[in-house]
Amino acid sequence: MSWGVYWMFYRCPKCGKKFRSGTDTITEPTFGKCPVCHADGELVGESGKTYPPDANDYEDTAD
Amino acid sequence: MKKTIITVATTGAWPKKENNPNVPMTPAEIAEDVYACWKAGAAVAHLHMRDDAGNGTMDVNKFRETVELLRKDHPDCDIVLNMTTSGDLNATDETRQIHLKELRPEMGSYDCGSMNWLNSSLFLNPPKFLEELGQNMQAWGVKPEIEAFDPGMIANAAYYLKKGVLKAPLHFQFCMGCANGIPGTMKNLVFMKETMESLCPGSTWSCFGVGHSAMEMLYGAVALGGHVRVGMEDNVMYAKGQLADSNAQFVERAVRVIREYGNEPATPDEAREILGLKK
Repeated sequence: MSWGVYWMFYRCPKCGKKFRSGTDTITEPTFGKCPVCHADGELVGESGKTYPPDANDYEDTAD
Repeated sequence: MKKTIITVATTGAWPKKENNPNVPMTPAEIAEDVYACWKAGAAVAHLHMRDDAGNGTMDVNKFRETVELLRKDHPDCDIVLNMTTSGDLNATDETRQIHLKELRPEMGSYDCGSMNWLNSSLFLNPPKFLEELGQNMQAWGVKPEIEAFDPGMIANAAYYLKKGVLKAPLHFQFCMGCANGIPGTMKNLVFMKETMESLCPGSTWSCFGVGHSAMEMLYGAVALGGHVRVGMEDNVMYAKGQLADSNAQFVERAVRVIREYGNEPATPDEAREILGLKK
């Protein structure tokens, strides 16, 4: 059994953008950073706990 | 020419239609999907089941219905069936095995240790369960596919080999990049392979990477002489920003990679020979 990517979902405190980072990219400098203004995101959900219903609307910071 | 086994993991226990509308969930959908993947070049199908609400289940009747549909509607399909023993975290030791006893698939998963699951729960595979499962699989003629999420699980397999709970030659599935498991990098894949060769010489192995490590692990496995697993259990995205159209799409890509490297995808019977299965 695998469980896909473990996502951490963020909202940018500056511009409001919704984005997510997979823990398989945890060493990337873009992890948890807003892809628009590069601010540290505010954690709003996680795969195993509070997976947002609109998860597909969150931009992957590794893309 | 070297043969590479493609395993397709069609469904898994977690992705739902809202994650990717193409994930097969019902027995009818899974049976059709397995057939499409077999036609595309998969030699082994790793099966998980879902209940009517779409949650992972170890309901033997769902497994039975899927197998019966596959056999009835596609009698030409000789794919090797590999059934999970870890499709529902709330399943009992008994319900994790009853489908193996009743349906006797050629292979079943054997998760060789416990770990945290999604940072919210436990994925428990305690010694009592692993000893019982290993002995039962030998008695029922089901080959264990040893899922190793980190090198310690390979060491655990070596222990069970010495005890006679597992029987050589072993077949490993290296599960790379799962949360709380070993990250999916080439360096780590080489380490997993070398650990296996050191502790359990003569074993065969396959691997997959979840998420962004999927392609690295696919290419890495082929280059290092292993076998590969693909499918929506591990990845609902086909590429960056692109949801997978189907599991067959993943299989078709694996076939291309294998052929470009100079290998050939193994047929189910060739996979049986490589894995030491009795049809």
